[in-house]
Amino acid sequence: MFKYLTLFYLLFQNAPEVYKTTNGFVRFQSTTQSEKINAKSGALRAVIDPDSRKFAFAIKLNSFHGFNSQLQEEHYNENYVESRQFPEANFKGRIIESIDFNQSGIYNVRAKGDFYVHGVTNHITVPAEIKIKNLKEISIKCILNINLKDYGIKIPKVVHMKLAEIIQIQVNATLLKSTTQIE
Amino acid sequence: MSPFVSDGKILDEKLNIHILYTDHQNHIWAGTDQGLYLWQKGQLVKMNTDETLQIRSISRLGEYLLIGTKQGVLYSFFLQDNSIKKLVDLHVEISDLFICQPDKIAIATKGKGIFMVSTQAIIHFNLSNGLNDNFIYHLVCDRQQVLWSCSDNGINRITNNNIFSFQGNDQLPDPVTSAIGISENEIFIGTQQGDLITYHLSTHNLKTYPNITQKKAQINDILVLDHTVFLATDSGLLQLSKLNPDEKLWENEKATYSISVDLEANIWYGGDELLGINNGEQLQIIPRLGNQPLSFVHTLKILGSDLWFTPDQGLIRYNIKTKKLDQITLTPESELIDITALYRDHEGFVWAGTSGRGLYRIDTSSFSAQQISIHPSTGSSHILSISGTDRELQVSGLDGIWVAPIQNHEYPFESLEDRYHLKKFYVYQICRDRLGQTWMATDGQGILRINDNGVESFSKQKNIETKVFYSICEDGKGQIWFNAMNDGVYCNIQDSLVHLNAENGLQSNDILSISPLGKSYFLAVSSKGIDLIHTADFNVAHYNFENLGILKLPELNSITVSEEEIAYIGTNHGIISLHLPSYKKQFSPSIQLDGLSAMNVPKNPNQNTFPFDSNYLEFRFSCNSFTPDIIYYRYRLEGLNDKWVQTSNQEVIFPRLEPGKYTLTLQSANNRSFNHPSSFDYSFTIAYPFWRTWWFIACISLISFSIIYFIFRMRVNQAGKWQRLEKEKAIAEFEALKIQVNPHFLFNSFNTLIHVIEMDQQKAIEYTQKLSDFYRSLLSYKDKDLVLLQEEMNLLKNYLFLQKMRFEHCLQLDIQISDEVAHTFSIPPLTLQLLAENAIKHNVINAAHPLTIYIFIQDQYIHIRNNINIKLTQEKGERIGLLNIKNRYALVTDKKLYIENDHVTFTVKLPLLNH
Repeated sequence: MFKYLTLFYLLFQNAPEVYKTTNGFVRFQSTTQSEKINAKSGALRAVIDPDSRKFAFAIKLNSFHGFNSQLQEEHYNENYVESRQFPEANFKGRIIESIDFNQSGIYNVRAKGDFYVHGVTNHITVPAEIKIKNLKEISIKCILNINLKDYGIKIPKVVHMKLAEIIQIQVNATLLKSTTQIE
Repeated sequence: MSPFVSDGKILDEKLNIHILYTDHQNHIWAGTDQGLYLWQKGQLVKMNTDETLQIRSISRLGEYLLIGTKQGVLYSFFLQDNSIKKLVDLHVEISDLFICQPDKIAIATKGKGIFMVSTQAIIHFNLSNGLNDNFIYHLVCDRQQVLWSCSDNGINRITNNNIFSFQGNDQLPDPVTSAIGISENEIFIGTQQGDLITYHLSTHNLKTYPNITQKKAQINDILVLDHTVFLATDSGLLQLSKLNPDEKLWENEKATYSISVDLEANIWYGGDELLGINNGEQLQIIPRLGNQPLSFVHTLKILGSDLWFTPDQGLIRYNIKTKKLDQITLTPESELIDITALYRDHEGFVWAGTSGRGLYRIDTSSFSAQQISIHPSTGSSHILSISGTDRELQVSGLDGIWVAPIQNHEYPFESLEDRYHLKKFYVYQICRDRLGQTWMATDGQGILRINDNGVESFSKQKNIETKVFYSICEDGKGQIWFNAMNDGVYCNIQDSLVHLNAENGLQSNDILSISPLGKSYFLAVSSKGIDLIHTADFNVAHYNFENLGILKLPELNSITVSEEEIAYIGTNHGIISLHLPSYKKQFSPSIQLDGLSAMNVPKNPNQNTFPFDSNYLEFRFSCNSFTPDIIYYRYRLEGLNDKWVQTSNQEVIFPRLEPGKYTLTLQSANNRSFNHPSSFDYSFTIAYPFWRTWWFIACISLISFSIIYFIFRMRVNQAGKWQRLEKEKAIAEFEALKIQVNPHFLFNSFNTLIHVIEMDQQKAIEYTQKLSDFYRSLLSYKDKDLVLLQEEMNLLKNYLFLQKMRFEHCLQLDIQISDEVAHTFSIPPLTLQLLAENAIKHNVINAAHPLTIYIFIQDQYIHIRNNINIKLTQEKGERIGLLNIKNRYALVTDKKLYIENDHVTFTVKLPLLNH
């Protein structure tokens, strides 16, 4: 019996251990003189492989809510991010600094990779904070500023007082260790 | 602090400049997010391509520009017609293009590694074959043509065989190396977090300067020069000392992505809505040394690695390498003392001459000064210049020149004027040349030279009128230079004298200081700026203070040059240092033809033949020189006018050019006399209109000559014809005359008459009447050319009646010509008569052989036929008669007459002639 258990454990030892979540929190904010938009989503899927330091974050764009009006949410989906054509936004890449995931603490690192939204991919480097709580749990906090122009999201002149060129995205996620493969 | 900074204001449009590139013709290209731009005539001009390219890398290959974009597409841009062609799509940003050898292109990408493309093969370097990372930022090449790359995970050195790398967290503070620069034997690496690392290629020594940007700003580009290193970072442009990167020389605070150096050693830098130019390492203003601020610096000298200079008072020794400052006071009290001359003798003592307190000798090891007296007279306390040999010291002061042999540290001075029996005079500067001669620049006596032959006035020998000279020195080639008050500089090369002044190259005639710079150059400093003179060909490059924003005034004889060939010039507000960069390739503006149009239609300069009606030509030209300097232009069109025309417009128009061959020569120079100009020739031809071409004119001439010739001939012929007509008429007259007096005919007629008288009186009367009629008509016909056939018939009938009387029935006639025909047509007179006479003359007529003459009309011809009975004895004159008829016919008609003789009958056919 124990022999099988050890085998079982050995199997698990060889399987890659990653940290993941499917309900990370993302907020994006647009601040202008006339209007402030603050949309949130709790449907961020995130995965980090501590060995290769690779990460992948993905979110469905239509999972954002908290717009100032139903009409605004509709416009956001139909005209701006065009979520029907481009349902997902993702950020895939590598963490530059090597950190010891076994050592708890707060680390300021850089996440460098391809950020994809609205059909356009740009290579960006984002400062992030990884807090290692214990062997099983880590939390990520990062703020990225994206320029809508870089992703082909056009702001009509009528609206440009209400929507900012640069949107601030905040990510706050807690990832738990699990032993399934990275997608 | 570097002067000549032109920042931001030179950019009209809002451009995001990501790459600046200087090609081998000194064209400055800017690759931006808004497309490709070229610096032309003081601004960036857009090169129109159909789509807007977001350019990240540029490199020139022959007549093409290779462009790499953010989207990963490689384009080739053809410079002659500005056409663009897509070459390949790599789908990841092409971050750098490097042409390491003429047949090898290295393409660096952000995501797919490096591609090396040559005519033989394409080699792909990536993670799988040794490259640290596929995300490459930049490529550089070292002296051995080996490629180095910097990437997200350290740097790589790439040769064909292997890839050397160092990377990672153990050797570099930040593995993301975003910039790389290379000097002779050192590599400079910049990271994303603002660290600078230097790696020495021979010693393999690695040195890190963390956080050099102080704001963790990413270093985007590194440019390594002779003495300094420029870093283009996200928080601005930094200039650091190359030997000591901790030392920050200058800074500009706008995000800069790219730096490039042009052929004139100017630095160009660009970023978001930023484009700047500055003169880089060449001129620097040094306002302070160490903690010593500088104001008036009028005496300075570099001795070894120390810069000795005089600030307001005292004497300072500053070590350039260690930056240590020592101050020495020469007077025990804090009296203001003015040091006017500095000299180091062969024993190592430094001599300082003062104005008012005489001469001091300074011991450099103990750094103590001792006053040395020259002569009891007070005049010798004011010193102007100090020089010397290994055996003697020469000091010039207000009371003349004093020399002393150096022996046992005693200096017994004696007056030079006394030795050579000269008057006392001022010497501003003394200099000793490599041949051992002593030269003196004097006030009032010109240039004096002292050698083994004694003292002579050199300036008098060379017929130079100026008597006041401020400085004199020898250059790297042994040539002696001296500058005069308001007269520029002179250079003595063996026997000839070269004179440079404001007309032929210098910025001013009022030169304050001169000095050689290295072996090949010479500097002349005036209040307008510094002139850099090439000692071989005397080509002059300008550094103009006003254009560079330098407001300082240089002092008299205040220049010194270090062993590293940096010149230090003392001014009224600090020191200016001039360094001639090793990478400066262009010294004077180089002219180029920008465009050419004929009849206001732009043309390709390759075209050099224009049709005759395309003769309004406009040429536009400019210089690819960005150093602020006054540029003079002139042109000459050979074929129109062989004179040079000066212009300040950058275009020349020729409104109405006659057909012919021309050569346009354009010249640019930085001086009014056009010494050492840059030239450009363009030969072209205005074609002759076809009516002026040689072949057309030749044809026309040939045709007209032929026409004239033929007309002439025709007239000659006609004249000839008239002549012949007259001649034939004369002959006919003659014949007629002959007939008139033909004795045979008369004799026969009289014989017949006698016979007839005997026979018939009535017939005899008729016969005589007919005879006289015949002779009368003969008379009237002789003047006519043509007579009616009827008239000729009458004559003939008369004649034949007479003959018939003689021959009776032996002569038969058969005349069948209708009256109508006889009245319509004409015939030359006496034709038929002559033919009939011929027939009677040449044939036997008797009963046995009767003669029948037939005359009838057939086919528009009169036929006269007779049967032949040849007489054996011929009477003379027949040939002439027939020929005469032939000729007379020829003169009045083209129709031929025919003679047929078949020995049975003899027929003559005469054409019928119209009246």
